[in-house]
Amino acid sequence: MALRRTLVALPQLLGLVLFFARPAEARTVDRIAAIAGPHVIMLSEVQREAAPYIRGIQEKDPLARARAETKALHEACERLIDAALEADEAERVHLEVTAQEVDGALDMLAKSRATTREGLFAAAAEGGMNETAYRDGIRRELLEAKLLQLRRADLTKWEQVRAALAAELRAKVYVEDRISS
Amino acid sequence: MKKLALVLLCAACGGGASVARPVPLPPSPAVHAPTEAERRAAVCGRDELAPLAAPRVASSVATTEGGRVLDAAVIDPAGQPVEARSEALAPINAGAPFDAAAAREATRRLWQTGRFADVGVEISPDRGGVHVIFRVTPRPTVARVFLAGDASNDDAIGIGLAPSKPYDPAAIVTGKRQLRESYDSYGLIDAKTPISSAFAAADRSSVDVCIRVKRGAVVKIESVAAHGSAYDRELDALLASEDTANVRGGVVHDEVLERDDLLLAAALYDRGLLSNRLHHEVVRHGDAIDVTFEIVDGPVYHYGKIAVRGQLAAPKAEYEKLLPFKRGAVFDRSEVVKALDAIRALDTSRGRPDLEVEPLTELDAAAGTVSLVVDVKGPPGFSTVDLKRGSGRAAKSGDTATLQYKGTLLDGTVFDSSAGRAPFSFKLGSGTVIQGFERGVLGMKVGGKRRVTIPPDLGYGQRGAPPKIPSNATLVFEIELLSIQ
Repeated sequence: MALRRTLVALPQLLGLVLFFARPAEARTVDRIAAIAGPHVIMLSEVQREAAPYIRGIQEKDPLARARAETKALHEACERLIDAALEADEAERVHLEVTAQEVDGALDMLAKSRATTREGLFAAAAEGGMNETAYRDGIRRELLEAKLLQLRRADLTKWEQVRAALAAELRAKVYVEDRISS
Repeated sequence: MKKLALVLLCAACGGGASVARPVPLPPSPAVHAPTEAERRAAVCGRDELAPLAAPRVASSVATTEGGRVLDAAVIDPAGQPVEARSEALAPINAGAPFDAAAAREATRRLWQTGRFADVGVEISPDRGGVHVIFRVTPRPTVARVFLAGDASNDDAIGIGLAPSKPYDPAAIVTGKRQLRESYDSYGLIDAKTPISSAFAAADRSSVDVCIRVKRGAVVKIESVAAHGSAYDRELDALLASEDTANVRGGVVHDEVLERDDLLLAAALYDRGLLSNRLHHEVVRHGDAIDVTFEIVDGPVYHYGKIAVRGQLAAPKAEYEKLLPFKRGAVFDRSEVVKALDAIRALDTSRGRPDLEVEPLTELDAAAGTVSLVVDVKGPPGFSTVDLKRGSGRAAKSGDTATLQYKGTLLDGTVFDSSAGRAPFSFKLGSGTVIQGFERGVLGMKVGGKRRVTIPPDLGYGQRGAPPKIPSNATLVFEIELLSIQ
């Protein structure tokens, strides 16, 4: 009889327990990682950009590894800031990259590496990058090349002219990188 | 033992009849409140703007988990609810699974209100779902605006800086550039206009800003001249007649220099010098400037093949009469411009003012000739260009598409946009939007971005949609597909 009473009361008891149970702690799932002019870059986007680089970190020592991950995140954030500002500049001067141009670049890249588009995507996936992210990376590089060509930059000094473009675009707007280096 | 326990208890309770003697606190160090002058020196001595949020080590965030959204709220660091416009939280749908992309969009919208220095997204699991919390940090306000050197109140007003206004470093950067341009326009090209800021309170609730200006001397133009062309004298006369800004005694204006480049190039094209090279040099000596347009004429080009093609509104012979150029004669840009105007007038007289007339030229450097083909084109038909391909399945009739869009006329005038509003949703095949828009969305994949050109018959037709869309307008939409259901 006592057992039956307990069983009958169990759902109510369970209800009471659930009613008074405190919700689990709120957890931060995203936050603003950077401001680039009118753009907001979120931490989840930085993590996605940094994922292939973090996956490639070989450090075993936990401290050195943490340092390398922080550096990868900071660099990813800086890349996203530059990409956002370049996209704005491209829009200002009416430059764009079509999906067909991205496909063309992928085919050229695949040919130069004696593989196919699918082969490129598979290699990227091994490094932790999906097809969309890989295409976005190609699009960004094409857009950057078009911007530099428009300025008649000396493309043999790629890194230098790219850095000069980034510095010029950053000087025009407010930039705040909230990921410590 | 009992007594000791009582003493400890009473020491902990901190009030009432304590039997323990209070322990004297060490004297607090003297707090020196900085004077106005010290504060000014500290802020004006900086070279940077105070950030809205300090950099910190990125802790890992995971947005994959979630569950059904129970509700969404905006709260401040103290846990107090903050009133936010409903559009800001519109991407978060109660009852739907938690969507990280929607949370990012809501965060962006909260940021764009300009009220917050930081926004974080939290989820709090609860019975059968999650509460979505946007934890916002209010922006600091401007406490004081210090003016140093030659800075004036007008400079502060121009930048929009005033005590008790929200601190907006982005507006300061823009204002600083405008201030710089303003000084340049008066010939004060050496002017320095740094702006710095620092938190005025330890809790980062207010900011002091300093505008420093050092004007320097006015730098004026000493001479403006063309150099290197066989037509230097004529070009100099042109520069003097066309312009009252970049002349001796004036100050250099970049936009006028660029216009003068075009003016000189046009004059050279009028003389058949189609492969000329031209650039301007601004050389400063002391407080004076010499502007030189360096020119290499290159060879003289003569007319080669001349033709007209396309959607002609009149017999071809009538068009050809309007192109009276003789093969072998020196190319003349002004003549061609006049001919094109005459062709436009012909099209209009035949009831086709919508036709576009485009000159296509091709140089043959070896022969020294230029071919000229006049292309008469009708308005563009329906077309799509994928700017970014999405992923997943393609949108089909019967799907509900949710998207962001921007609609423009052919001249670039924006007549409608979903920016700043909730994304637009409609059912494909339901006829709720113009035909061309629906056709443009069909086949798109989520995440894709497409430019769709819509001729009038698939848009608003002869009726238009006054006052923004005129009669017989070709429309161009840029569409980003967010989801299909």
